[in-house]
Amino acid sequence: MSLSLLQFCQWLNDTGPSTALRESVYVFPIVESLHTLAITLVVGTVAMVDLRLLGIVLKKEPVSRVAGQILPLTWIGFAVMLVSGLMLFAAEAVKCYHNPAFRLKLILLALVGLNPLIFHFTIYRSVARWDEAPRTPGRARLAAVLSLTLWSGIIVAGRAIAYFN
Amino acid sequence: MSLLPLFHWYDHTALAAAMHKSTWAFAVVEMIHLIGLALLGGVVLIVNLRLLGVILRQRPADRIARDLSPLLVASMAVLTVTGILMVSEEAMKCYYNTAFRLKMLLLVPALLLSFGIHRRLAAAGKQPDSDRVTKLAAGASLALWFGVGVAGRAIGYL
Repeated sequence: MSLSLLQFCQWLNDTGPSTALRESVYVFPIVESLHTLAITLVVGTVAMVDLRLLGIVLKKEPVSRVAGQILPLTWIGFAVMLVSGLMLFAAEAVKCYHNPAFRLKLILLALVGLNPLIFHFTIYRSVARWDEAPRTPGRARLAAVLSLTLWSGIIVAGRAIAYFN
Repeated sequence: MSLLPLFHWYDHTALAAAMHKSTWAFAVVEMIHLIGLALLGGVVLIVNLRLLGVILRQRPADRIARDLSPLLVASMAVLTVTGILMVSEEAMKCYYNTAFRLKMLLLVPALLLSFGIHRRLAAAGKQPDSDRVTKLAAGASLALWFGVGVAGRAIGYL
C-alpha cells in the first residue's frame, strides 16, 4: 500500500507537466504565492465566522447571515488553494511524500474538513433558535475553537514543509 | 537620508544575534506572522467588501468597522512585532531586497488608508454607504493589501 503510494508519487513527479512546473523559473513561485494568499483568504474568512460563533466579533449580526455572506468568499479561496496546492504537490510529489510536515498538513486538512461537516449536520440545524444570540451554544463554540486551532495548524505545517526539504 | 545605518545597527543588536543563534526562532515567528496576516486579511476583506456593498449590506458599515476594529489593531500589532523580529534575522538582506522595499512602500498607504477608513466611519453623521470616495478608498485598500501580501511572499524569492 505504502509502496504503491510512493510509486504513484514517483510517476506523478516525473510527468511532463510536473517536471515543467518544477523546473520553471517564474510559474512555480507564482503558483506558490497564489497558494499562500489563498490560504490567507480561507483562514481569514473562516476565522471571522468562528469569532462570530465565539461572540467576539459581529455579535449583533445573526450567525446565519455572517456565515451565509462570508463563507462564499471562503469557497473562492478554497478553490484557488486546492488547484494551486495540487499543482505544487504534482511538481514535488516525491519530496512531499517523504516530508513529515506535508503529511501532518494532510491529516489536519482532513480533520478541518470533517469539522464543518459535523457542525453543519448537527448543531447548525437548530441555528434558528440561537441565530441572534451573542453567545452561541457550547457545541457551536467548540466547533469554532477546533476550526481556529486546526487552520492555524495547517498554516504552521504548510510553512514547515519548506523547512524539512 | 539613507536608512542603511539603521539597518546596519539593527543587524548588530543582541536581538539579531539571538535570532541567528536559534534554529527555530525565525520559523516560529514567521508562522505567527502568517496567522496574523490571515486575521488581518479577514478584517480588511470584510470591512472593505462591506463598504463596496458586496456583503453584509443589511448592517451599517460603521457598525461592522467598529466591531472589527479591535481585531484589526490586534492583528496589526502581531504583524508589526513579528515583522520587526524577522527583519532582525536578516536586516542587511532586507535592506537590499527589492521585494522588501516594495512591501514597505505599499505598507504606508495601506495602513494610512485602513485607519483613515476606520476613522472616517467612526465619525458621527457620515453616510458612507453612498459615498464614492469611501468606495474608491475601499477598493484601493484591498489592492494595496494584496500587493503587500504578494511583495511579502516575494522577499523569500529574491
